[in-house]
Amino acid sequence: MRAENILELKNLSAGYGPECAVADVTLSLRRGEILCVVGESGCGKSTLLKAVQGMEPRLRILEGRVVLDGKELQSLPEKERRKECAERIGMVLQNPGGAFNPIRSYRKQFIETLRSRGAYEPAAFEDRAAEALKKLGLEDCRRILASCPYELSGGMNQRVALALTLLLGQEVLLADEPTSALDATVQLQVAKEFLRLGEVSGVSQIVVTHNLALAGFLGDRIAVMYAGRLAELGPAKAVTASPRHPYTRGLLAAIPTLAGRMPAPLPGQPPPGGPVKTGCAFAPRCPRALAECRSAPYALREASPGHFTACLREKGDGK
Amino acid sequence: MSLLEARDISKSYRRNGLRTDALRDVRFTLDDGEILGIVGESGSGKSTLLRLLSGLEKPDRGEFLLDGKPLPAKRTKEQYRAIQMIFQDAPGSFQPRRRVAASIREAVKSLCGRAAEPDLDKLCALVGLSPDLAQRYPRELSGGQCQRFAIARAVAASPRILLCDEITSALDVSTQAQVLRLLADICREKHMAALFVSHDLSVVSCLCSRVLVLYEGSLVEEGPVRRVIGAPEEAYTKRLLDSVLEVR
Repeated sequence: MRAENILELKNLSAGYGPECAVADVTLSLRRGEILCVVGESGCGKSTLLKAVQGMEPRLRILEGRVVLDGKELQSLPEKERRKECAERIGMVLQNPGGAFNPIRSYRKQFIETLRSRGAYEPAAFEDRAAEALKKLGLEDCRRILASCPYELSGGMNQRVALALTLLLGQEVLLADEPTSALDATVQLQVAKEFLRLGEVSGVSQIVVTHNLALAGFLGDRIAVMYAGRLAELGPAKAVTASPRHPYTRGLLAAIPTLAGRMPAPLPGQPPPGGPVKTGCAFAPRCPRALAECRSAPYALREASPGHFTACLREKGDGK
Repeated sequence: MSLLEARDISKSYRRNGLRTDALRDVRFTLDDGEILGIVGESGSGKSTLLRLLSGLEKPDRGEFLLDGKPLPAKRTKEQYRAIQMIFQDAPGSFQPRRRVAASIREAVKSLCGRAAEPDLDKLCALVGLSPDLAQRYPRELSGGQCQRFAIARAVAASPRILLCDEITSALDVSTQAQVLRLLADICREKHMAALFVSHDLSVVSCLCSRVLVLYEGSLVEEGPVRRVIGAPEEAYTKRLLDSVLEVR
């Protein structure tokens, strides 16, 4: 039976040593959904993606589970787990084309990748590649396949990376700041391709970004991370229009607008050591913190239907 | 008289035997204490313009005038000192094997003479960082901290113009907001002018009073930020505006 959620993280803690960088994250990715994860640098959003992808050798899952389509990945033998992840989960990095060899043609790299999965069919390759590229608005298949990543623009390389996800038939795409290195105009084009990828093939996506405006444009839901934990999780419109955590409000106030309002930076710095053991990690920077905020155990509570917050002061009425 | 004037600046590069115009007859003025925005996509010539202004490269045609006097091909130390650049890749703009304080000291000495000694405590206070952080190596600092030190290094030589090349593009929104405020405060306090290059019109909108729009090496539109954003005249400017994502 098909699981309702393609991916589930259950109380996941992960880190590069004994200390965790991500703590107690419980999240689900619905089929065909785009979930955006936002937060400042160092909040653990990229670590979360790497923990799901499971290809970073130094990163260890300290607690919790990753469940892909009903299958618990940690319970699989290492070889099988890696195979499962590689076959079903695609990854797009911040550096456009960074996942490819810059001086090797896309044709050779596509064929190599397909071959490594035993999915290369020489007769059908050209048509299938053209179809995948076309779905992402890239008509000139021959020229693109003959090009090396260094010969194409950043936006073009990001689209080719998305096309590879389609070609491989991967069901989950993890994207780490996929538009941060691009110009504003190209950024919007690439963001639209992410939407198109979901529409044409139903690929479920987790997109990590520090840009709440992009998350609002792209995401069905937004998860806001602070110091390794989820601060807020909810429908994208609700999170951007009526945030339920003071940190999210701070992030929104820090975005410059065309109207020319000078953005307000969040006061202070995130805690240096990652997730805190007790109390709310944001309390020292929070204008509304109470004494109990510094001692109460961490928990995500549902403030309104489908909208969760870790803030103690957020009541059901949104006050 | 304007603090800086660019007169018909042109620059081209040769690549694979082909000549590409990076800048074509660009002219503009910059007043004392003004922060002038320059927007455009990659390849529009914004960074080339800053490299020419900083003296890292020479224009093929045209000239820059500082206080009404042409900047010669070989600039004096004083002329170099007057125009300081801040780069997008702040960690990469510091010597990786030298402590940040030593890099700042070296920059000041090379511009103001060997006897010059920057007041590091004062500089750190100006950019809102603890002096202890200046004793670290660039790799031990965050992107935002490095960018603040890069601003401190540029300001340390008391320049008259700061050239800012996408200085907040690599930072997250909160750090970007800190750096934008810092730059606005420093320019106001020290009565310094700045050329602020960015591909993001909303960043330019909150910092600058006037903006130049560059497209494929040519200046296609210029004017007060409010006018250019409110009623753009060029199709290219409209396209740039349409690509801005805002939280609704």
